[in-house]
Amino acid sequence: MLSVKDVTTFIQGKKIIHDISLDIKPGEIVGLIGPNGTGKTTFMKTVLGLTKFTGSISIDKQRITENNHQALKKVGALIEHPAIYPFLTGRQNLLLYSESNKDLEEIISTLKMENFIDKKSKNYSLGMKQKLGIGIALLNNPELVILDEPMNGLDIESTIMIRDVIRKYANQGCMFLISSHILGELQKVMTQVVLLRSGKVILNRSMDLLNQDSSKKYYVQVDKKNLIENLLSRNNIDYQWVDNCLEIDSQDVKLMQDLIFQNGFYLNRLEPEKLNLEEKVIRILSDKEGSNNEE
Amino acid sequence: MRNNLYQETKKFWYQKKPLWGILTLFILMYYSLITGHHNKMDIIQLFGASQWISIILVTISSDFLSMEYRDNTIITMLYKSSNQFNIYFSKIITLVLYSVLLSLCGIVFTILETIFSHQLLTINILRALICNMIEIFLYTIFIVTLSLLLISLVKIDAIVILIGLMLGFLGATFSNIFTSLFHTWDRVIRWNPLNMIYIINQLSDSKYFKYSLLNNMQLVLGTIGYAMIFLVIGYWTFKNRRV
Repeated sequence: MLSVKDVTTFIQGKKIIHDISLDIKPGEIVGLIGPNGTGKTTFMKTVLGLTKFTGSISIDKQRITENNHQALKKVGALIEHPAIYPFLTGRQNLLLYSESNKDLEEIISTLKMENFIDKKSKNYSLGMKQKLGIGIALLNNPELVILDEPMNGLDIESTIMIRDVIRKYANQGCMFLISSHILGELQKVMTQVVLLRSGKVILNRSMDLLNQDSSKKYYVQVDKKNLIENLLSRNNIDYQWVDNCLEIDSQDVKLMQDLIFQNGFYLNRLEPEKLNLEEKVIRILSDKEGSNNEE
Repeated sequence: MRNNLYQETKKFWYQKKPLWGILTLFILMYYSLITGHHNKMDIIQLFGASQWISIILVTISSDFLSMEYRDNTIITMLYKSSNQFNIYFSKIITLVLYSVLLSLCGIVFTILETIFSHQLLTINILRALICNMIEIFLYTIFIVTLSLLLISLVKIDAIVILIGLMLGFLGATFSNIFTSLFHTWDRVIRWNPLNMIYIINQLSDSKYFKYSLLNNMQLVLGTIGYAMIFLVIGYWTFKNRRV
């Protein structure tokens, strides 16, 4: 298990990460999201022991410090750009870090790199480099894989393949910490979402919980519109009409239902607003901004 | 450490640059051969090999470290390695071993040239050649540690190469100017790092003592001492460089 406790990172004396605590259990895929310059890459580098930090980071109770990387033996990472020597072939790049030939061949075939793996990597396209970078991260059966924007430069086919590979490794118990701006893509694989803003965690929730609790609006379809409008207005329930449906806040749903039933009316349809991850994130960020401004 | 050394050696030889370095050494030695006096001194000095090797090493050393930052491979190296010293030190070992190979190439060239030009290869000349190889070895440790320190500090290959070239061609002249300008302080100034350049000549030719003002033992200790200082500061800079 990866355990991050009260981690604060300083770069050139400036606090970039503020007291982050986070646990990742085997098999979990944690999506690290947030606006640009919010500290996602710095946090990933901190987990890799590449920055000065306070607090504690450990993998299976083995601590990682700036000077002790023993716990990182079973960690793979792709940070910023694929770390590739252009004068080596893809295979030679993998061989530099590979502990077994069998594993190396498996990575090549899993990531479908057979066609270009023996060519000099300076001639690779961005997508090929990205695949090779992910391949290096997945070498030697890692327990934790950290991927910074792994879908950069990948075509649709490769994106789907990488998604499947991530799921496959996670099913085998590998932990993933992934950052991406393509939230829709991330949503398809992650089991937990961590939203960062200005170096602070403003949301850390499992995807199941996020899907349950994020509906702030409900859509209600009713007969006898005028009568129901009067009823809601009399009871100070805010509403508006959207495409022939009443849109009301989730906090008023219970009261509205009671009023409608008590007055002998009935509902044709009552359903929560369905938001994708992008819309949810924008809403959470704007809510937090609102509450910060109020403070 | 063994793993780091394996990786560095592999990366080093997969580049074409070390082979170009050897070829460049032969060309420059040949240039010295056809433009020089072709006397005993030229043979002992390996047709200027020590100077050429130091220039080749400055160029290759600075690139050997800066490429890690350029290609973002430093991140993988840093987290995969148990500590940063192993990375830095294995780079130095790889480069010093390469310098040994370069000086061996220099000796082979000189011996072959001597044989083909029907000159007598006396025991004294052979002894001087071996002495020269030791000089080159000591000087290249100095040059390699200095190059890695400079590239860690200034981060631009071109500047490091320029400083290396100036050191190779003008270092001794600068040192002489300092010593003559402040001759009352010569007991201190003779220990300046530029003066260590004399190690490439003095062990095999004692007349250089009048320029360096250091005896052979002092020169050896000074060179090793500076190499250690460059190693410590270079490693500290490398360790604290942001990735």
